[in-house]
Amino acid sequence: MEKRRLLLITTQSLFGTGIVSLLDDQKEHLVIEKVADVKAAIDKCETFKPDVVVDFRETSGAEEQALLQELVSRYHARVVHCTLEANQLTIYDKTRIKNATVEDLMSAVLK
Amino acid sequence: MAPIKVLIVDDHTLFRKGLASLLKQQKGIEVVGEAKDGEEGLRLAQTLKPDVILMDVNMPRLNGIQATRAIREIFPDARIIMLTVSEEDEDLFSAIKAGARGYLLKNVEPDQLIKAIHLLAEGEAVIPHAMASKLLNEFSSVAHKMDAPAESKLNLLTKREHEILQHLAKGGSNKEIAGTLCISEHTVKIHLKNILKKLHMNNRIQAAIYAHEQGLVNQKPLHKN
Repeated sequence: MEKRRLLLITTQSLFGTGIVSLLDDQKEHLVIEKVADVKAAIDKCETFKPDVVVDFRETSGAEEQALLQELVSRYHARVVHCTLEANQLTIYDKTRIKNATVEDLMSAVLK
Repeated sequence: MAPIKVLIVDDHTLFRKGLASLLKQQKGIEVVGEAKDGEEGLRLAQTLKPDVILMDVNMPRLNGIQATRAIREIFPDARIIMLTVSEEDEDLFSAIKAGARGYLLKNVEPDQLIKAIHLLAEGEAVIPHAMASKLLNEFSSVAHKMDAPAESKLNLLTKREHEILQHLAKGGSNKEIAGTLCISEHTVKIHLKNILKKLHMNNRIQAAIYAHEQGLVNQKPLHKN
């Protein structure tokens, strides 16, 4: 089976590092690259061509929201926003999963 | 040397699972259990006897401060770090009063948390510098108040909170109170939450009884600034 290409937008926060640690358990199914912000993600998409982009950062202003939309439309990647404050997964920008579980995250990333 | 046994109590599943996964990779730390609310945390603390407990503040059923207080009543030496998104002074003070030995924000870097776990296991306390100064200010203010005549906890409430407590004591529902005061039901809920926190109470019934005991029901509306 072809591995899913996963691009993570993350800082070294406890939440982000914890989620990366969870995703590392799925390494046999995933090729993972990491960047620190959305602009870097867009640059990386040119060459990496991810299937899924997961953004764990807490602050996501209007400009960043627009960049995330650009990611969705230009690269057809599934963009998943995973927040600490709201305790939910947003699969851009249609599905919101409250009280998301690890299974929800894996499903958003792997399927 | 035996690893430090850690219990994680947090209702945010992804945060809790991610943290557990991260800590499991650390030498000298063993995650012995995970709880999704304060009630389960209290139960697991009794059965697993962890060396260090990482405790969220805002959780359903029994919040982190109530759970900390309950755990410390059973195990006075329990070492508990609050790990929270809350930067509210009230939460910090309540957590320390309840017996927490540490208070860290969830945006802390992983290395800082790991260091804090080791420090706590060695019997140290862990409070970030900015919060330590808040605590000193609070301590100084409490010490000052101890010399003054005893004040009712009602004085901690704002004018609006006073009004809401009065209506609550008269049996008003959130909807009725919202209608009377021309505010939203959501706002009433937030005020009520703050009232319970300030009075150190768990539910509206306790608050209503307290208001009756304090004669608040028959008082005229307060004119605080």
